[in-house]
Amino acid sequence: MNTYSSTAMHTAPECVVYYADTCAVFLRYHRTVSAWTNWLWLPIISSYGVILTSSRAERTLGPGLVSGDEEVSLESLRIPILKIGDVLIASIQVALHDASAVQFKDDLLQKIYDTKARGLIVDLTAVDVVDSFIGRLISDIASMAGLMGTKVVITGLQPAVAITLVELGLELTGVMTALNLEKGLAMLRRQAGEGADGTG
Amino acid sequence: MAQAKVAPIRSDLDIVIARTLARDTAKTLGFGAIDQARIATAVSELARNVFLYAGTGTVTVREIERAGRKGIEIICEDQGPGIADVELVMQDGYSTSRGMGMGLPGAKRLMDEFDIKSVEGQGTLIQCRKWRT
Ligand SMILES: Nc1ncnc2c1ncn2[C@@H]1O[C@H](COP(=O)(O)OP(=O)(O)O)[C@@H](O)[C@H]1O
Ligand SMILES: [Mg+2]
Repeated sequence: MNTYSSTAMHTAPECVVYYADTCAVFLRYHRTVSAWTNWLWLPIISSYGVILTSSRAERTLGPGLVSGDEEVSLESLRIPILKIGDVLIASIQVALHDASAVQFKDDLLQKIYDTKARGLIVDLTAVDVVDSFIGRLISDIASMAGLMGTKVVITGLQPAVAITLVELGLELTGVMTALNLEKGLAMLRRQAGEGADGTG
Repeated sequence: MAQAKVAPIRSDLDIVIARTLARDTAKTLGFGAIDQARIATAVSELARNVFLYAGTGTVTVREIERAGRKGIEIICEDQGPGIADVELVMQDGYSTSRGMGMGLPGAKRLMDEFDIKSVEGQGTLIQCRKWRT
């Protein structure tokens, strides 16, 4: 995920700091946010659809509000869930706010049901904050998917995130983890093999 | 010293904005990746509490200095219902909303200094700091 250090401070009533990496979230969920946020971000959506680049945002909102050289591109409103064989893979690439996280959980469980996937990998490589809300959601996804017969592996947990989780008091017990996507897939395959030859 | 920055909390999106502000400020102040994650996570917990229990409030982030040491200060303020028993809510697992009950005690562990003042019916003020090593 592209991140920007650019910020803009405004005086009331727009007294808030906007970040380019979170403006992705604004765009995605503009309908669910407060009327006040709607008012600010709606023009960008109506002018440019859901695809926004930082330079476009700058042109729309005026210089200083958003800046940066890289482009943020927003392809879809939801976190894509890919299917490879009988494994689903979802990689979280945006800053999840509470409503989008809950939506993500619901989408995942529905997709598991629809596809009868045997395994699910949730890749958190790009996630830099896992607080108790998201931590609980991850545990919930693992246990709910487990009830449906699907094994869940969390991959790509950053060292800082792992340390913070433990210090926070959450250890995601019962959730399988792997260093990266490749190892996560191997883990699921191994389990499937064990299950198939009856030795697991 | 840089000016304090205020992030108003009125929706769950504002939680993301507040923690991003805290992380970016920490990064600018020279905090390492792990401390940045600790600070951002603590702010995420506190900002969510403001949103959940008080509805609205503010998160203020500022640079501080004491005896030549630099740090970051986070102040979370709301005029919500307040907390009757502060000691009780600081215990691991205590929640009135069927939450994890780890937000306040967890945030305290993640920061170096943690101070909570609350008056029932008036609101809650949490002030916490982390110092650069
Ligand atoms: N800003 C606040 N205003 C009023 N009550 C609060 C506030 N923050 C926390 N609380 C109370 O403290 C309890 C514990 O908070 P926390 O440790 O974050 O756990 P959780 O949010 O999961 O319940 C909450 O359930 C709530 O009753
Ligand atoms: Mg909480």
